[in-house]
This record gives sequence, C-alpha cells and structure tokens, in this order.
Amino acid sequence: MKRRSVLGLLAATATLPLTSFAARADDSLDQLHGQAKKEGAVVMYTSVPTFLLDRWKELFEKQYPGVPVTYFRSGTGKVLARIESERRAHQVGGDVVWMADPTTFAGLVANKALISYQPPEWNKITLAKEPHGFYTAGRVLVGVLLVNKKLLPEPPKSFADLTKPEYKGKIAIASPLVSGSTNIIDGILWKDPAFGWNYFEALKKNDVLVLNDVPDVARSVASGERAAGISLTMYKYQPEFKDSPMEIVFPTEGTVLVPSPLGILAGSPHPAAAKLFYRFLLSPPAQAVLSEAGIYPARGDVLPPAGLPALKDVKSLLPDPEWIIAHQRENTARWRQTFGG
Amino acid sequence: MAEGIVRRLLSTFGFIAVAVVTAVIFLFVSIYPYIELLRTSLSDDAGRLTGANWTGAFAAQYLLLTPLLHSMSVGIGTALTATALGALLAWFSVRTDLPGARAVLPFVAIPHIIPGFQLASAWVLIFTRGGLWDTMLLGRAPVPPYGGIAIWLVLTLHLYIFSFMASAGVLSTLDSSLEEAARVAGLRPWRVLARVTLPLMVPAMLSGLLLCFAYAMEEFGAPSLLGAPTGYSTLTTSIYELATTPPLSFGSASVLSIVLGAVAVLVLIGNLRLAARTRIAMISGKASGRGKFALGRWRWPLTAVVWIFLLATSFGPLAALALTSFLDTWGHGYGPGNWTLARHAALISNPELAQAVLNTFGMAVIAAAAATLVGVVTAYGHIRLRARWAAAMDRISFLSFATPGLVIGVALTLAFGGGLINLYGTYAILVIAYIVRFSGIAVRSVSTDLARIGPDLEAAGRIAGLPPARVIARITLPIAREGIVAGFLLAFINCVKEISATSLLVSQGHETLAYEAYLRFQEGNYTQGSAVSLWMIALSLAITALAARRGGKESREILT
Repeated sequence: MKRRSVLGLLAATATLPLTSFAARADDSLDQLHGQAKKEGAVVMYTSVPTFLLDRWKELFEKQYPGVPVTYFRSGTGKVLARIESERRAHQVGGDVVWMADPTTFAGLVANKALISYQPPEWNKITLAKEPHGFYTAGRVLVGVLLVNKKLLPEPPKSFADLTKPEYKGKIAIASPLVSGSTNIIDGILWKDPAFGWNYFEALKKNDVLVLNDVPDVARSVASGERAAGISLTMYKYQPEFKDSPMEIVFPTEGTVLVPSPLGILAGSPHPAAAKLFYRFLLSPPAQAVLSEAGIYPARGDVLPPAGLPALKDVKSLLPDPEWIIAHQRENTARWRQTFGG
Repeated sequence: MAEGIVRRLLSTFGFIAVAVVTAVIFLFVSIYPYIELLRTSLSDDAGRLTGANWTGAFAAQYLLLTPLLHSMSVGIGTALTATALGALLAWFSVRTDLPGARAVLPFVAIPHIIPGFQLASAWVLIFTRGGLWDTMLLGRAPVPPYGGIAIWLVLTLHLYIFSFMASAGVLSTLDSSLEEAARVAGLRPWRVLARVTLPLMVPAMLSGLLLCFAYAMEEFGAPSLLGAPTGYSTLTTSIYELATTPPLSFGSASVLSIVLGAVAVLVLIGNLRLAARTRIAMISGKASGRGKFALGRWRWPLTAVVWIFLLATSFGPLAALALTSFLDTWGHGYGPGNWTLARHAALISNPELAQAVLNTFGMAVIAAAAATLVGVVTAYGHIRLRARWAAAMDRISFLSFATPGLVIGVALTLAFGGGLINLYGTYAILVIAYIVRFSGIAVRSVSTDLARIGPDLEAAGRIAGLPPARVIARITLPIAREGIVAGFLLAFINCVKEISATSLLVSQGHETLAYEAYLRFQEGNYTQGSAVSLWMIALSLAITALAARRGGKESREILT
C-alpha cells in the first residue's frame, strides 16, 4: 500500500503507551476463551450484511461456548453516530467494529476510539493494515464490471470502454450518495487524472442509468434492463443471480479493491472476548465464509471465491481513503450537480 | 379489542385521570419535537443561534430550490391528472348507465391501499427495459420507468381516489332536478353535463385537488425509488439524504422539513375550510329522481376503456409483484420453469424478516390502541364537554396527521435522539411516531360517530346517577362503537404501511415489514421486496375491507 497515513501517524504518536502494550499480543486462544467466558458476551458494531454475521455467530458460538455473539447492524452513518455518542457518555457498548467503508476508520483512529492489537493472524493479512495495528482489512469487496453475455457477446473490458458510443444507453452504475462501496470505486476514478469528472460526464452523455445501490446494478444487468454496469463480485454468488446471464469482467485498468476495516473499540465492555472474536474473524474458517459468498477474504492463504483468480494475480487499484475524505464534500456536491441525486 | 382496552382504563382510573395523562403525553410528543425542529434550523453545530442554515439552503440551488421545484411540479401535475381522472370515473360510476358502475370503488381503492413505494417498484418491474411489459407483451414500454414523469403517473394512480370520493359524494347527493330543468329547457345531454353538472362539482373537485397536491408533495417512497436514477430529487428525498448520509446535516434537513411541512399543512387546512363550505352547500341537495345519463352508442366502448383501466391499474401492480416474488433467477423470464417459493418462505425462516413481522404487529397494535384512546378522550372532551384542551387536541391531531411523515421523523430524531429524553434506537420512538402521526384518524373517526348521535342517552345515564366514567364506559363507548373500531383498524393499517418516519427512526431489531420491503427495493433486491410487499398488501386489503364493513359509511370516507 502506497498511501501515507498522516492521521494514522498522528494517532500513533498520541497513543504510544498503547502501541507498546500491544506488542505482547500473544495471549493464547485458550486463555482468551477463559477470560471471555467470565465476561459472558461479545458485541459487534457493523454494517456487514446479516447473512454473513449469522454464519459467523453460529461458527463462533460452536467453537467458543459460553461467549454469545450479539451485533448492532446498521448503515455506516448510524453505526458511527452510535460509537460517537457512547464515547461521549463514557459508555462504550461495542467490542468489535467492522465497517464496509475504508474511509470511516481514519476518524476512529484520530479520536482514539480503537486499540492497537496485532495477534498472530495479523501477519496473514495481505492488505490494508493500519501500520500501528489499530485496524486491518477483514474482507475485500472487489469492484468489477458485470455484463450480460446474452445481450453483449462483445462485452466492455475496461472502465474506459463504458463511455464508447456502442454502449450508449446500456450501462448502469450505482449512486455514491447511497452506496459506500461505489463512493470508494468512484473515489479512485475521480482522483485518477486519466478519468476524473470528465469520465463521469462522458458516462452521463452515454445515457448511463444511475441506480441507488450496487445490488440493483446486478439486478439491472441480469434482467436485461441494462447490458453492463459497475458493481461487486459478490452478487454473482447469490441465488437469484447464480445461473443468470450475468458475468464478471475484471476491468483492464485494474479491479477496485475496497478493504472493509475491522478493529477493536477502546474501553470496550468485554476486552478479552473482543480479542477472541477479532482473532476468530481473521481465522481461516471465518474467512472461508466470505469466499463462499463471493467476497474476497483478507487472508492471502484462504482460497478466493470459486472460479475467480487470487487477488495477487489480477491488476488492482487501491483507494486512498484520506483523499476521499478530504474531497468528500466537493465530490458530493459535484455529483449532485452532474446527476441531480 | 380497542374499545375493551379503553373501557377497562376508564373504569379503573376514571375519565379525568385518563384524560389528563393522555392529553399531557399526547400534547408533549406532538408539540415539543417541532420546537426542537425550529431550534435546530436556527442553530449551528455548536448550538449557537444563526440564520446560516436558511440562507445556505436558499443559496445552494441543488439543496432547496431544485427539490422544491420538483416537489411542486409533482404535486401540481399529480393534483391535476388525479382530479380529472377521479372526477371522470366518479361521474361514470354514479351518474351513467355504465355496466358494473357500482363495483368500481374497490378497484379505485387498490392502487391507493398499495403503499406508494410498492406501487413504484411494480411500475419499474413492469415498464423498465427487460421488464414484464418487454418480456411478456408488446415491445417498447409506453411510459418511462424512472424519473419525474414516472413519479407523476404513479402518484396519480395512487392518489386519484381522493378526487373520486369527493366527486362521487357530490354526484350521488346532487339535486338532479337542476339537470332535469336544463334538459327540459332543451339543452343536449352533453351540454347539460358541461353547463350544469360540472360547475356543481367544482368545489368537490377543488377539495380533491388540494388533497392530491398535499399528499403528492408528502410522498417519500415513490420519489426515492423512481427519482434517483434520473437525478430527480424532491424535498422528501433530499431531507432523507441529509438526515441519513454522512456527513449528516440536520441544520439543512430541518430547514427543508419546515418548508415541506408548512406547504403541506397550509394546503390541508385550506382543504378543510373548503370541505366545510361544500358540505353546507350540499345539504340543500336531494338525492331524488335518479336520472342516469345514457351513454348511448358510446356505452360499450367506454365500458371497455373504463374496465380495462381499472383492472390494469389494480391487478397490474399486484401481478408484477407476485411474479417477481416467485422469480428464481434473473434473466430467464418470468415463466413457471423459473419459479421458487424461497422468498415467501423467508418471511418465516429468515430471522430478520420473522422479527419484522412481530415488530409490525406489535407496534401497530400498541400505536393504534393508543391512538384510539386519544380519539375517545379528544372526541368526548371536544364534542360532549366542549372543553378547550380537547379542542386543542382535536386540532393538533389533525395538524400532525397533515404533517409529512419524514418531517415527524426529523423532529422526533432531534427531540428524542439524545439529550434529556433519549429514545434513540428504541422500539418506543417508532410507536410514538405512529401515535403522533395517526391519532388524527381515530379522533376524526370517533368524533364523526359521536357528533351524529345526540347527548340524550348520556344525559339519561347521568340523571340515573351514574358517575361520568361509567356513563362513558356504559353508554358513550357502545354508541360510538363503529367509529372506535374503524378508527382503530385504520390507524393500525396506516402504521403497517408507514415508511417515511420509520426510515429515519428505525434501529436494529426494530425494523418493520414495510421498512424491510423498502430497503430491499432500494438496494435492488426486488424478488425479496416483492414477497414481503405481497403479504403486507394482503394484510392491508383484508383489514381495510373489514374496516369498511364494520365502520359503515363514514369509515368508507375515512378510507382515503
């Protein structure tokens, strides 16, 4: 990762004692389990879809009896608002926090809302690790082109192709105002001088259809409303799309990686259970749940979704969360001007 | 049931105690949030007094003026077409020899009973490229699937019942001797229609026009699903976005809420004034001499047009949702080979949806029972005791009902989303929102019933020495039974369908079915959204039919 984490550095210097404490993060899992049982529960705050959470809850409670998992799941904004208001009241209610949007954690680090923790599993993660251990990617959403092979025997191969006249009126995208992952994908394109806002204006001229969210792009492409669109790999793995004429195309400019950050809240009510659950989520069985759902695991040693190449074998683009945060207002306003939204 | 709860309360605690507690709580939750709303619109992030939210909203075109323009366009467009459509159908159904004219009402009601966002989803499913129209029928769809025009057409279908009811009411009590006189004087039937009948309908049509305008402006679900793809933002969708998409901006959201709320409330008050005047004019009418207008050789072609329209607009959306709810895999057509029951089974097997079923029933029953209590206390105090506090509750419950759900959502978030009374993320805040929003229905329903019946029976009870609570429990409640039951059922069904306040106040574990369906449609999961919607609509239709039967004629008017 090439981005320079200014906020991360600032936060790290401010919390030096914590960082050094984190160095001896080699508690054995049995020890943690014993302490976690005494704490009696673990609570996750998250925006990750519930079908994944239910699966992890089931696996975790079987592997570590006596530590029931509860989660507060909501939209990114609501989860952040809850963390913020609980911190202000000195009543942190969550242990582990996992969001879809990589831009959300810089603020948490800056506010010292997270602890630094680098268990052995940490070393197996291949990308998007906060340099001081405050968070890591827990999974990777992968932004790709979805194409309808029935409608387009010659599908687009790149983001740039989508502006070609032959695809006029055939492309669907999601709104970055609604979809967090789209905000990241678009953030990469906005920042890239080869694309920028000219690209989006060209898309608009090409009569692009702007839907609310990424699953709707999948629905649109699979049903033939549009012939191609920008969305995520995971939808191809859902029952209603599995056998549809919709296929995944990795764009030639590079596929967009959207790492979903995972961390432990400072002052959490169940500190040992938090660490245990965190390590579980980064363990091979929990990561394999992701692959089954068509999502890339953050661990390099867990197989990718069936039929898709490993991330190290595809050309990929990583977002620059600081740039996206710094330009959020400007880009939101620009989006509204361009597409109405 | 609602009547039983109210009776038990009254006989245990007495009327005064129940009335005081009900009034204090109701007035507090109905008034205080708007104070917070106003305060927020005049405060900066640190809570200091500022006019920046207002000047900022007017300065940034896309923030207030464009959505306002869009909302007004949708409102005016919908009001005009819905009024024309409703009046025309009412005339066909009441005053002509159109076959099957008496059976029209249920088909007018169905697109209204289906919530706006579900009607909008059905619209997309039918008219988008690769949708039902394409795959099953006639090539290119005749109307756009998304955008301002789609919103306008969907809301016209959703709301024309208001104009239909108003016009049908006038037409069925209209003194037909006026028309006969014109005919005797030698006017051709069509000219009688244009010169005599139409002018007599004007006040009713105007009332329908105002109602349709206000409700079209207030609508959130349909524009949020249909508007985004073409960038057609309205006041409601902008408020939702400002209050839910980080960085949150409650300052601007409250400015937009006040603008929207003011327009809607003023228009509905205007309508109330107008309706009161119309009713006086109507009393002179005698429903005598049913001279039906003979359509002549136009009879059968018009019958075909009217009935194709009614069947298409009521069964069309239901069929679209049903077919989609059975769809197994996208892109392989809608035939039986591609059907599954999985999305219907999910209502039981998916824990989130099963929880939503329970929440929906629980919240709707509690809120509707509370609304009924407010209705009884207010109606009794207002009509029998002529008390000032009850007059205030009557008016405030009407204003709250007129206030857009999204505005109530923003106001309650600001009032109870932190600070002194923190109900953020609770079950209770949704129930409170429903009570605030829908008590007006129960108040109106019970009041109509009470006003119809003189106070003689109750006077007799008092003379016989019964204490006031007993008089109410033994005499008043049984008299107003129809109104109470209808009020409860209508409040219940409105709670079940509510999404605009819900979408702002909902939290994990407290989702309702309507909200789950809305979320599914918003993210594009039309198959699951359709399955949830179908069951919700089935429930709504069943309860609406029950309310219409139990509540008699009055409630049929409250249906709208």
